[in-house]
Amino acid sequence: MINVSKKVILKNCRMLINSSIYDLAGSIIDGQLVESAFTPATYPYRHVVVAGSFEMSFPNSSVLGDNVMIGDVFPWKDYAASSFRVASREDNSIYYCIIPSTNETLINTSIELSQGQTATLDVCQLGFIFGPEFTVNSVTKNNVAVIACEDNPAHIVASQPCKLVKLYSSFYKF
Amino acid sequence: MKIIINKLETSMQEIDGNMTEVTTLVPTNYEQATQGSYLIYNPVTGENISESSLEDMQKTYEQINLMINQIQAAEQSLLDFRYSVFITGSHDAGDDVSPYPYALEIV
Repeated sequence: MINVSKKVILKNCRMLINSSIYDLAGSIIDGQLVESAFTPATYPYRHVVVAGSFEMSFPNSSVLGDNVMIGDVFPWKDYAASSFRVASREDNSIYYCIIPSTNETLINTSIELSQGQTATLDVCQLGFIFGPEFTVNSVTKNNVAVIACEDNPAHIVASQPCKLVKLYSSFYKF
Repeated sequence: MKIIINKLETSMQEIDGNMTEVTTLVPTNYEQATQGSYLIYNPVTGENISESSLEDMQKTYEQINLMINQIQAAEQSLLDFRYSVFITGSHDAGDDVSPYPYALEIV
């Protein structure tokens, strides 16, 4: 089963988000786009893997597929294909789908934090933090946290090395 | 002239001060897009239908019908809805929707 969550509107962040949980390895979604290519510039959504991993493949084309791992933001390159297949490679693989406001784009950056290093998510930013242990606003967390800063910033301290993925709307100038 | 609307785009728009999920039907050719593009709210998939009042939905469909009539009158056209962005496979939307995204915290 693929458990797709209800979409949540992040008004201040100006985006719409949901998560999809693939409970078993080998679960698939096939899709068809009108466009003949799949590129970060023309495809407005972003997908962030927060657990497990996925294989993106492109049936009926010669385009090579890619594995999409925890912390990856898809798509990160151009694919000259209009059909795609998303397949979970592990049980309980999860990704987020982030949809921007009309005529806006999503800007994403990734930062590797070393032990003891700090970072801040500003208001109107969406953050994904991956690592064995870190704190968010002084609360200890493990493995993964998804923080939407609608009204307040989030202060992150890497208790151990971790990765921070930030997304925000092009409406803002951070 | 036959107008084929074959693309659905979901996005967010600020409407009356609220960020709102909007599904846009995009005609295949841009010449028609200036006359034929319009917005509908959660129209085809029924997603988040509980968040839209029946009155809103009815109003939307009335607007669509009005638009279709206008286009047909102006272009002597046939409007052919064909949604080419589709999902198949093991995913069965509607049966397996959980209420909240995994691990999400809003601060």
